[in-house]
Amino acid sequence: MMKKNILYLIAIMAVFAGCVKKEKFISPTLPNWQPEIGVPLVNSQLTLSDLIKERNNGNISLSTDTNGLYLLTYTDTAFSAIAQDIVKIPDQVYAVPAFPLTSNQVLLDSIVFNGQGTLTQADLKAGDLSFNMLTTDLAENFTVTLTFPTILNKATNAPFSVSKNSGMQASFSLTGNFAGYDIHFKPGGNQFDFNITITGATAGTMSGTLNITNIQYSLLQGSFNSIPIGVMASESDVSIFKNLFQGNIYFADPRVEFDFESSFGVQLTPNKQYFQTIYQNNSFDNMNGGDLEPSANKVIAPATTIGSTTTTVLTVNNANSTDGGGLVSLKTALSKGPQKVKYAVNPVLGNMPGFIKDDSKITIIGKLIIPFYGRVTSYSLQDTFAIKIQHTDSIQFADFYIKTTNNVPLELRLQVYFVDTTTYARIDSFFTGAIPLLKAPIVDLNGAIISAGIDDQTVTFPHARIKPLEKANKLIVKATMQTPNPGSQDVKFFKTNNLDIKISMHAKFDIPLVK
Amino acid sequence: MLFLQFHTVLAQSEHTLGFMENVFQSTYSNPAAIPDHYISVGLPGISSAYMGVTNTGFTYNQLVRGDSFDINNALKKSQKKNFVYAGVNVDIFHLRIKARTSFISFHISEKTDARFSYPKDLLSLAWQGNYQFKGNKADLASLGVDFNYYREFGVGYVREGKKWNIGGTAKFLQGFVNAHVKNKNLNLKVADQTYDLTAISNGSLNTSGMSSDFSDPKTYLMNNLTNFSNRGMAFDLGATYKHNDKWNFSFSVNNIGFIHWAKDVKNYNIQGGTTFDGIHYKVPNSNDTSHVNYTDSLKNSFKYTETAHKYTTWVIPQFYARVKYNLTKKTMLNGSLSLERYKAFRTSATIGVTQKIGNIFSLLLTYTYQYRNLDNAGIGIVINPGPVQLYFVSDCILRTYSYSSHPFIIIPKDAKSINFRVGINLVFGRIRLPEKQTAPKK
Repeated sequence: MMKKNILYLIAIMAVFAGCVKKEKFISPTLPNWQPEIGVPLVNSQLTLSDLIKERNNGNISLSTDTNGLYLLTYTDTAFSAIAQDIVKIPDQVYAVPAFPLTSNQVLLDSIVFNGQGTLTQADLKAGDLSFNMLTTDLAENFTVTLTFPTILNKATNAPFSVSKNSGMQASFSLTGNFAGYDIHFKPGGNQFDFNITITGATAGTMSGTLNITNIQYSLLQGSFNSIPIGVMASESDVSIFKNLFQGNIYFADPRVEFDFESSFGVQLTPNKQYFQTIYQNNSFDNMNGGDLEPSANKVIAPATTIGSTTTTVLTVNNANSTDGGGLVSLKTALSKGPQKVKYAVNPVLGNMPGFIKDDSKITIIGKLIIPFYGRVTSYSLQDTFAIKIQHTDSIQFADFYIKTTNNVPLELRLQVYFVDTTTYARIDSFFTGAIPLLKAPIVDLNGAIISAGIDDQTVTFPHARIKPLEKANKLIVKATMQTPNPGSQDVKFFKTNNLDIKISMHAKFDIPLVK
Repeated sequence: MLFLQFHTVLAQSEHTLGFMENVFQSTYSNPAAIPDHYISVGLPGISSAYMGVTNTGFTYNQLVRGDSFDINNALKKSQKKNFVYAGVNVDIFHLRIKARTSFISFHISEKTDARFSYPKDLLSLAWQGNYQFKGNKADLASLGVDFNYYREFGVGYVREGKKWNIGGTAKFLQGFVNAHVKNKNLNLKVADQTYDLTAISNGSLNTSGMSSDFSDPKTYLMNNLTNFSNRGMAFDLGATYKHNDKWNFSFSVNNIGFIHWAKDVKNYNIQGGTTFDGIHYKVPNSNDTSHVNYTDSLKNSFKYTETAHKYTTWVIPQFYARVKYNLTKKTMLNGSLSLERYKAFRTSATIGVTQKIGNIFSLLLTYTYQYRNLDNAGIGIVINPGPVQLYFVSDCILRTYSYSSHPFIIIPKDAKSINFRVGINLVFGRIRLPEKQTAPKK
């Protein structure tokens, strides 16, 4: 029994020992690491207010109205000359006929106002009087007093009066200065009396010449004829169209506002000289000036009180600027992509009573206001960036998933070119075809968005496509935009319009872990 | 406020040991085992020394194929939840005495084990990338660490009957050091088309006794000899049914118990979630003056708290069902099925043959299917000349191995689990079984 047990034991141990195996050790190497990853890259919510900043650079401003609608405004200012350079009282000469020195004289003068109107009052700040007298048969000394009963001192209300003794001279002059005196003209306009009083003469005669020169007024009151105050012109560089690469931008509701700020106490009429758009080839269109046209019968309101300014706004818009009669409307002209807008007016003082201060003037603030309301067809932009792509051997493939939720009323077609500028070779493009990156939203008839444009797509880059990109040193991005219903519908751009972009990447790598 | 958390204390199954009933230490696996001697004594340090190392995920030959690492293959072989285990147990003392039809025993064991559990999804994520989880999530909740150092005091009792042997051990557990990571939720979700990444975390690290000074082990042991702040208890139960002279069936359930950690306790909790859905690009100088600070955003997404609540860890229960067929008096065929649960249920099956040579030598050879690996050839040797009983038992002798560049480092190529237990017991008084009466010849 013991022997049998030992035999069993040996047999079992032999079988067991045969199963144990010693192997040679080989130090293992590390394989390439080939992870396949999915990672979100970009998740941005952009509003137009992020992309388009309101700014005011003096002449050009980008702002929004109370509804958030973007407005591009070009502003320019034109100034007129001041009244005292436009409306003048020339030097006056009155010949006093000979009269005996034994009687006093009351004479009536009528100033020359060059047909500029009928004055009731002229407040003078300067004016030189000289009365040159010539006497005959003079017997003794006498005193001459010259009095203007209706030329009153502004402060004391005393009439202007000057006296002089003859000094037994046959000829002598009597002088004075009208500064601070107001001329109150007689009804009928432009006339005032003056008295010559002789004292101490018993014989002889006198004649003379009355000169009033260097007349400067501070205020004229009366009725004024049509007096043009001079051509006021301005020109704006409409730079939004300068970056046009290719395509059309059509604004549905542009307008021009002319703010006439007048300190004339007399209404004026605009008297448009020209209102034009100038194009890249230097051709031009004469535009219908809306309220500036004579047919509009618009006037520039007078200042209500002496020293004040009244602003009259005259506009050019879709309602009053139409095509026809040799003129194009503002909307039509802007749709052609002009480089400049220019205008000139020569306001005319109205044939009506009022006042003119010496410093009365007109300032015209012209604003070309372009609401971002309209349509774009095939508007293209292009830009170039430097790039360097390296280590592509580790990338087996990369797929990019792009999802956009578009609440900006534009459809965007984007293409990105990888180029080698040293060999002038175009290596590849990101999208195989100009496919929409941003799908246009649905808009209503008022141009407001009803529902967002949602789109997603995947762009695949296998290794065979990635490797050649190492040669690229420039990236050319070309974007072509158009408004929904390709360019046939007007849309509005509000600062609250937003765009969500989500980009994710699915890629597989092949990275050697052992150098 | 007493804050109860329930976690696991580690133990490792030993399949071959349970068949070696003539060795006292087999009661650790089979509490109803009936020994061959009246008395068994275990002296400090030499009675039993156990060491085990396990990686349930993959073997060396599944990780390395030819002359290169094949991580994809290792991942393919791994389960959803895997762990790496290392443990050392040393018996300090034992005494077992036969009293009439019963056996009464007492033992003290020192146990240290550590387990790092790793989900397959974590390795897949790191090696193969996150794309595989699109529309789904990488479940990392089973990621964890468990470390235990405790002392076990056991009182055992086995009653031998005509048909049934009933046995059990009541154990008092004296905990010293514990570290336990538990994740209620830890995952990384990857959205389907956009690959948005969402990380969710709700987990905690509990520690006890980690701030002790371990630089002088002798001083540490002396200081903690009577430290019973971390108390626990466990029990083993077993029964053997003797169907006839040939067939025996036994059942046992081991390590039903817990340790309550109360001294030098710290809890580190983190809870929260965050999603990365891409860089939020801002137009330079845009009206939106806010900016995304991703580091701050990450910090703010997770709430971190430190507390000092006591907690409880459970011992890992093990269930065994065994069968023994006595081919002859000295040759036995053995079989067992076992079940344990750590992060997941794991079953094992063992078959073996025991051959005894007289009363001095016995050899047990086993073959175990464990952790989806068939390559576990085990051995148990008992040499018993006189009162000295030398034994060696292992569930896995290295079937395939090689030496690395370092001569003393052996690399098991096809094994997922290696363990061995060796020791010397003192045994006295062999129990003689009554001979069967035969009918006199006519």
